[in-house]
Amino acid sequence: MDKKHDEDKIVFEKYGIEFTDDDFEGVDQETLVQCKRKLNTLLKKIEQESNKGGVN
Amino acid sequence: MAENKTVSDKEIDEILAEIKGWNMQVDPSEEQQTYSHEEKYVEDPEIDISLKSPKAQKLYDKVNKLIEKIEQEKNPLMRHILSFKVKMLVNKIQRELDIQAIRENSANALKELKLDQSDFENETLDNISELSALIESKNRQLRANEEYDYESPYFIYPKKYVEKNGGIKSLTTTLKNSPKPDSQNAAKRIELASRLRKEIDELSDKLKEEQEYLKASGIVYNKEQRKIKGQELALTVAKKANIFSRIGNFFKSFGEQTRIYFEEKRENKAIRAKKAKEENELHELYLAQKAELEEKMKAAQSIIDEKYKMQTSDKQSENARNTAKAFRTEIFLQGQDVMQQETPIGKEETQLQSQTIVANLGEPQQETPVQSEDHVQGDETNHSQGDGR
Repeated sequence: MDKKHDEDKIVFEKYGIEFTDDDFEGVDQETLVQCKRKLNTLLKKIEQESNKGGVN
Repeated sequence: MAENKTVSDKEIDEILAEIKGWNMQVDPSEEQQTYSHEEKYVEDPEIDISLKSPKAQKLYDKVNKLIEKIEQEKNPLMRHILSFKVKMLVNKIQRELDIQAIRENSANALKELKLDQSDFENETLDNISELSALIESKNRQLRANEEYDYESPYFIYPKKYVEKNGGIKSLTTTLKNSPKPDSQNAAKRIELASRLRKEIDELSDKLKEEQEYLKASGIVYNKEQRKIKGQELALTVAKKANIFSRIGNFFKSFGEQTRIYFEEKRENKAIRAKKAKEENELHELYLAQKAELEEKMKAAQSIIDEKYKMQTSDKQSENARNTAKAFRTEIFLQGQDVMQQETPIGKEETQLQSQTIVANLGEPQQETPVQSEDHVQGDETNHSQGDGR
């Protein structure tokens, strides 16, 4: 695998999940928006937890 | 602090593994763009993902799986670290959305451009029609005044005179200043013709310009189109020529085959004639041999009759007559067989049979006088002569 491809990849090693550019290319807008919203909701939750509990 | 103590070495290793290879150079502005505390996250009703492409479905499932895993993650530090990667993922999705938006805009822009081009072309076509009509109208006016058109061959004043006397302008001025109304009228008409010619030239230039626009647009006045049509025509002709060539070849081949067929037929005819001739000759030979055999049979019959005619008094002689009768019948039957054979092979058999008959006839002849024996010998000589034929 070339270096560029490695850089473009987002790997969640613990869960064995990785995202490459190829996963997004050609995917319709609605699906992308849906995925983005779901992830943002997750981020919001994590943010709130961090604000409550505090991670040093 | 209590939470920090709960983080085991294993968890630290996992966190380090997640951080390893992580691109830390995340653009803060980009981060701000995609994730803001002020942004209101309202979960919209989910779209029917089943209607999407397999690729979309795969991405959707992968994202859901990731969200589920992160939500199940009990270590808050790990969750916090993973959130950075999730932000990167959101940024990636946003970039893809931006790219798609740009593509869409480009497509729309191209569409508009095409529409503009079409409008421009339509306008140009209108201009050409209008200009052509104007030129035609002015040409008609000019033709009505062609006697006063200096460029026309029907100009009423001698051109050489006009040239010698200061040109057309000078002539017009002279005519204008004339007290005669006809001359003044002529001056007016010369001016009108001159003006019309000038206008026609200007309009023609404009028309050419418009035609050039269209030529650039590639719609009409396109010599290239004619050229392509010419090439298509040439191709069609070439194709047809090829067809004719094929037809020609077919007939050529057909003619050759016909010639071969008739040659073969002629050869066969000659062979058949030769064969018939040979057969005819054989038949003649057969008839001759048949006739010869008949003669021999007749001779043999006469000898037998003569031999047994004298032995009619006693019973023994009667028995001998009966034997002779049976013998004669046998000879007759043999002769009939020979008559029925028409092949050259049959001919040979006929010869053999005739020899046998003669040999058989020779047996009782031993008791006959020498005269008869001579007769048989003479027959044998004749027979050998017949074979030679």
